[in-house]
Amino acid sequence: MKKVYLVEDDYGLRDLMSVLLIHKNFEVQAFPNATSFTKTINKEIPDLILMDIMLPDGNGVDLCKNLRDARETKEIPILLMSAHANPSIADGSGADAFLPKPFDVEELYQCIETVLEARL
Amino acid sequence: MKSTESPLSSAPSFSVEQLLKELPVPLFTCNRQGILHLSNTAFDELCELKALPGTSVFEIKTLKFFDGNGRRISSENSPLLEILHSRNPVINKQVKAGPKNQSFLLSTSFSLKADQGEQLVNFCLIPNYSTESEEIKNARLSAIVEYSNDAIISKDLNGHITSWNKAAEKLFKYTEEEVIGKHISLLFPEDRLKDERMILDTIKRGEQIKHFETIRLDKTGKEIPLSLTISPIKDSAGRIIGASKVAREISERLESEKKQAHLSAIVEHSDDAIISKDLNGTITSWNHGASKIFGYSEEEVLGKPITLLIPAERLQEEDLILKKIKSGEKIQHFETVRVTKVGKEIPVSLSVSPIKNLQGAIIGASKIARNIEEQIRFRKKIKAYNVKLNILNSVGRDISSNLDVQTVIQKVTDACTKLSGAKFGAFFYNTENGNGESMMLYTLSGAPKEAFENLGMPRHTAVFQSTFTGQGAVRIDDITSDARYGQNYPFNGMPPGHLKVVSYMAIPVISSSGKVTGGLLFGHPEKGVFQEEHEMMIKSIAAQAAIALDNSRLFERVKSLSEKKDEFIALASHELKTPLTTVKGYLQILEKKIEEPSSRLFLSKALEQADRLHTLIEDLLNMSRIEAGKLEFHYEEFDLREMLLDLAETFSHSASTHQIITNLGENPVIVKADKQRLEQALINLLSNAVKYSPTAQKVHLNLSVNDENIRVGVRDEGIGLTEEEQKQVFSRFYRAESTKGINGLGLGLYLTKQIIDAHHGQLAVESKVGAGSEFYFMLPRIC
Repeated sequence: MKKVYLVEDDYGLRDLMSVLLIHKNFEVQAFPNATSFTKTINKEIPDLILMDIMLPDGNGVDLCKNLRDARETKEIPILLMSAHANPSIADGSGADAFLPKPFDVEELYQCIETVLEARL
Repeated sequence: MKSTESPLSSAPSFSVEQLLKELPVPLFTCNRQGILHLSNTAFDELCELKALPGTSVFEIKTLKFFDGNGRRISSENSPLLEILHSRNPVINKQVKAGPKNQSFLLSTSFSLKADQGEQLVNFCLIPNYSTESEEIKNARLSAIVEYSNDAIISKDLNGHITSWNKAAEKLFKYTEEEVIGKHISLLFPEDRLKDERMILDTIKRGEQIKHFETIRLDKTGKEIPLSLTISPIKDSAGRIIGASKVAREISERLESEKKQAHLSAIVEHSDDAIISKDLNGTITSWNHGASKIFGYSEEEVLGKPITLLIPAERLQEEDLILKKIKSGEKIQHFETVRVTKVGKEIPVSLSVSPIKNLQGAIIGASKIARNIEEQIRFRKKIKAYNVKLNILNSVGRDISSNLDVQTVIQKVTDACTKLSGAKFGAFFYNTENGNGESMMLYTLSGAPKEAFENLGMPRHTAVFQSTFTGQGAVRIDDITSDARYGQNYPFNGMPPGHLKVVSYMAIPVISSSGKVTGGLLFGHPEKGVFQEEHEMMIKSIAAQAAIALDNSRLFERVKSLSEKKDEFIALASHELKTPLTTVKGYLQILEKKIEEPSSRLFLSKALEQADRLHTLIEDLLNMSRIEAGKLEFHYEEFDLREMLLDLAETFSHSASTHQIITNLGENPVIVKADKQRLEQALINLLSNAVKYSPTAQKVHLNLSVNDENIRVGVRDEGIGLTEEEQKQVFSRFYRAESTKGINGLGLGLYLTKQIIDAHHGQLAVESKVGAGSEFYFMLPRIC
């Protein structure tokens, strides 16, 4: 079972995405903010990260850059999300994909599949 | 010695003495003193007395000599004297003598008186006989009279006409037959009848009347101005028996004299200088106007060179003028400068024309010089007024069209400084900063910013107080002598480094609320620069400026509110998106799980509404991005025709009520555009077409291409738009009257227009109420 970390401050969307990911047989660990996510990733590396860009205590783009700079987390597939419709917001982050909000369920599944396949 | 009456031929024997006595030629002999020795009968006849030997010839008063003009020569000048005192023995001299003023050849010879040895002088007066006969002479005279161009008339002393020549016929229109024997008064106008008496009196005295100008009538009664010369006619005995009249018509001469007089009067009394000069540039005439303008009298300048009037630096003008004149050209209204007697330079307008003599040769030039000082002053004044008017107009336009406070106050300061003639001007202006704190801005004109940098703002001193409390304008010819000046510590006047101010003017700027928002201050280092007209002008600009400043303050406030609103919309729509994503997600999960048909129907309706909500949020967000200038575009090349085909298909599925009819041509149409945004624009147009033609069944989607443009049109058969609606339909939040009851935010067309504009295209509408509308856009074709 693949492990996925979900970083999303909106509790409604966090719950929905957890449901959807579990439905696809992922082991989901969800974080409401950057601080709790950083604490955990330093202990355990997941197979996939889904992260919102606008976080109350940090920025998804910066977090992503840091992960890419560290040897241990350099290769983790990362998917950034934002209600900012413009994908250029994720430029230079080193993320594998950008998913604009709102998205359809199928779009989410499609995006995850593409990212994971590319990493194989 | 005694004389005898016997004829020359009567006696066969006679002495020389006797012979001399009988000679029909007057002769006499006298000594050098003129004492008569011998004379003959013919001499006695000539003298009309019996001349006795021993008398002096100078005592014979009847021996008269006349000069060529018929005047008697006095005895002191007698031609005899000359001869008696002469040493020449024989002198032939032409004289006129005797009571009839006859011509004689005076021939003299000297002889010796044998017995006494005294020299005697013999005088012989030989009558001058004409070489022509009287007949020929008369004939010639008649011919001359007959064919003379002058009317020659003779009359007797009663005034009856006795002769009448051809010219008289022509002049008076009477034939000779008609007038001979008639009274001369026939030719007299009533009021001239007294002339005749005067003429007759003169003639009777034997005197001539020369060039008497009068008026006579011709046969038709027309008045003819004449010049008359009237001479007495004498018979052979010298008695006056009539008069000859020579009449010359002078109407032409009178006319030309009259004209001449008129012209002279005009020239003399003209205010313009009228000068003539010869081709050497020497002044030949000079009128009163010239004296008035240039200060020289006529006597001072006649014969002087015209260059007297030309300033040294303009001397070459004279050469040019003369050159033109010599080639027969005129110079008209040439504006230049001339110099007066006192050395003052005055602006003049010159018109110079050649003067020609009767043969047409150019002999000089006439110059008309008009002093145009006044004209130039007037012109300058008009120009200055125009400049002021322009400044006023432009400042009015500038400040009413400009909403930026700093720009408005700078423009006002510049314009007012220029208009008032101030050396420098300043506008002190109260405003609020972003934190609501009051502060004073200022702008300068005519002085660098540094000139005021180290000086404080105007304080509430006596000089400034009335301005900044709005009590009214202050205008002082010399501020340094004003009672309010110099009363304040520490400088007691202007602080060191202050620009010199003597003339001072200050106008308060008062907003519509009555609050003093600022003051316009002007200075000049000279006294009395600011006049009432300046004060009036600046006051009116100050009033305009106050309005403009009020407006710009309002505008600033509205602008900041509008910015806040756009920020809020962006934030709100962003916040709305996240829960919407969640709602849609759960609905989609349910859609997968629920099999029961009616529940599935409700779910799909819920999803449809979620999509609609999504579109609305997206529109709001885009709108706020456009307002903030943050809408971004990503251009790519794609086939527009293909995109339209896909859209039409998708739309046909979703809009079950309408059929999309495409007319897109056969060939791909490659464009470089933001595909997503263009799609958004087209969806807006198609949705509108469906939405606003509820009773129609068709929507037309057209694509056409020409050399320059790609045209995409969406046509409906719906309610259409009025002309007024067509003008406003692309504005933000606008919704046509007729669309009440149809949902919408009024953002779709606004966004569509922004998208098309960003593609350098044009969005437009053609519409007719009741017949439907076509919204279309043109994109420039890329090759």
